[in-house]
Amino acid sequence: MEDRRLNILLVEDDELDVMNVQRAFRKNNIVNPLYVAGNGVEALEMLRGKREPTVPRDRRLILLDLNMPKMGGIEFLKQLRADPELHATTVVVLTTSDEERDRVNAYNLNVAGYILKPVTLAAFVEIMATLNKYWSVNELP
Amino acid sequence: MRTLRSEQPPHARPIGGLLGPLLLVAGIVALAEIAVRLDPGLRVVTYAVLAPALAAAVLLRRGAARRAERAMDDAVGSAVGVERSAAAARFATGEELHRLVLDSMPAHIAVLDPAGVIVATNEAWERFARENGGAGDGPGGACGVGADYLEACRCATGDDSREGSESYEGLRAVLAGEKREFRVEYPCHGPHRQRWFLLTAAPLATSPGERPRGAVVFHFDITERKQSEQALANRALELARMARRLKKINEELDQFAYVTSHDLRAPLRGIANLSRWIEEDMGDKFTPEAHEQMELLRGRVERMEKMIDGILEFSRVGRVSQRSERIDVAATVAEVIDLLDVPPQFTVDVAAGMPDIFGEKLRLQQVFLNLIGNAVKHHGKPRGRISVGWRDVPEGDGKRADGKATEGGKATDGGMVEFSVSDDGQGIDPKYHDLIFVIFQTLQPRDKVEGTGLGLSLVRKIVESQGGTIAVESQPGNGATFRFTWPRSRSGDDRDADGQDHRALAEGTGAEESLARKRSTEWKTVG
Repeated sequence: MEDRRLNILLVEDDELDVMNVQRAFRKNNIVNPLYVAGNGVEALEMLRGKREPTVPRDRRLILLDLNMPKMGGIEFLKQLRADPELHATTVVVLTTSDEERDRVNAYNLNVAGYILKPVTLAAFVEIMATLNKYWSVNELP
Repeated sequence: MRTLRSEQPPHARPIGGLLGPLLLVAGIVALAEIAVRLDPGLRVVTYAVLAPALAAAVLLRRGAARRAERAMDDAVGSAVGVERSAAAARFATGEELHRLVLDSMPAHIAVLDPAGVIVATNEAWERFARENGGAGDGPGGACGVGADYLEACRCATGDDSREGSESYEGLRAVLAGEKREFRVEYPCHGPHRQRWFLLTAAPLATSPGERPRGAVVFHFDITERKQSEQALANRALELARMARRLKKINEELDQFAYVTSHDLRAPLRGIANLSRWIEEDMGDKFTPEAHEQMELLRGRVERMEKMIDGILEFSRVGRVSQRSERIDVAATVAEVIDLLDVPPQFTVDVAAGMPDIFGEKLRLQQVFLNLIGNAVKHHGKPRGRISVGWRDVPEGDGKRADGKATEGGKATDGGMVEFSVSDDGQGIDPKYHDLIFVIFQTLQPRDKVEGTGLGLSLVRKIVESQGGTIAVESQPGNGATFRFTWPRSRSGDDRDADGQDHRALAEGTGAEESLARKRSTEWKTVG
């Protein structure tokens, strides 16, 4: 499984939510490297290799929050899909917004999944484990 | 009349004519009475002698009366005749009579020849033309005798122009015999005050088929009517504006509640997570008390989250409307009972023949969910019986579930149905009957019976948003009955009260939603 590792970019502005993901990774013994961007602008720069730490080009998976400062998730997705280098990147939305419009917009921008952040920690840990397992067995662009 | 009065009054004669016979009769009767008094035995003889005389006197009197009447008739007849001929003599010329009648009229009147040239005007017309500068041009003035009125209408400019061309066309049609009548209302504002007139034109024709010999034009001052009409229209506009404003404020309030509650959840979840992480990381360094306190902390967080969810739901009732559909109420109640997982010690009776109604199913479900849920949760006894009933509220009954008079204009097609949820629990003191419907009000400490105090306020908001009412009947120890009304059909609702606004609002929802999103994003950005 070592060579099937994922390069996960978490785009999230809430420090606690970042900690939550990191903690869930630890609990699940997920060793995949986790890159963190605070908003859409930072994320694009890291993906384009213009900001440290840069995200390796292979086997990328983006976990994307929607409500963020400077550049929100939907705008980030638009720019990502418009970029010939990045347009095929796999993105899973991880958000608190259960609004239909967000969901529809996100899927229109070809997200691979839309996950509502669960209330309890245990549920979050389980979701992270499932996500990791699923994408580890997947062939990625 | 003066010549008549100087003659002898005609009614003097008949009265004079009556006097003779009357005196005669009185004389005979008096004679007879004297004779009878002298000797009662004479009575018969006296009357035998006097009777014919009496009869003769009565006949005489009748004849005199008839003559007198005839005389009076003659006198009156001749008097009227004299009067008529005198009046006719006074208004010998028809032209003068017509002139006087026309001049006495408050309307501005002009007579046009077949070409539309003014041939006669009345006093009011002339005065108006004088006062408003219409008499200045040319010999007869722009609107005086000799002026081409048809042409004046055609050339009307300014705020009269539209009505001018309209009246030109109307007048032309009347003069051509194409129209029996023409009417137009037009503004004619003076320098100091606003005025409106009604112009009517009628053809001058003796028989319907004949080509008119001209037309009569009337202008009536309708300023007062126009002004009150305008005042009314302004008032209606103002009211509509106020209603829109109120609606908007309400929507904004709901929007605010939505955005706020949405954003309040994130930090709460953070607190809950942190408490768990601290607990995990501290492990056995934590005393059992500390663990318990952490548990309490999370309990409070959970409660707050529920309250926020409640506000969110509360704001949604006014913010988002669901699709209206036919609701099988019996099935809905059955679903609710199933969802609630009512303990086996409780029985729920549902009345037979629950009607099908039309509306938002989820909302009705929420109402039953809260009312039946409350009946179980706040029952206060180990076992109990809950019954769900219904009855038709006849249209125009005027009775509401809370016993107050209905507000007008809320009647819906198909009338209302009243549903009730009764229990045999601890009941509610009447002094709290109003309080229980207020948001966040609970009668029990929240630790004892877990509740947010939102349920009944939500129920009331839902019921009222559907045009219904809700009320409770209860005495401590005797159970409680909640009754609410629901329109049988909402199909006719789109065109009541707020009428045209409805569609605009429906179209506007998308924009509002995106505004809400923008706001919520902005809020996030700030945080």
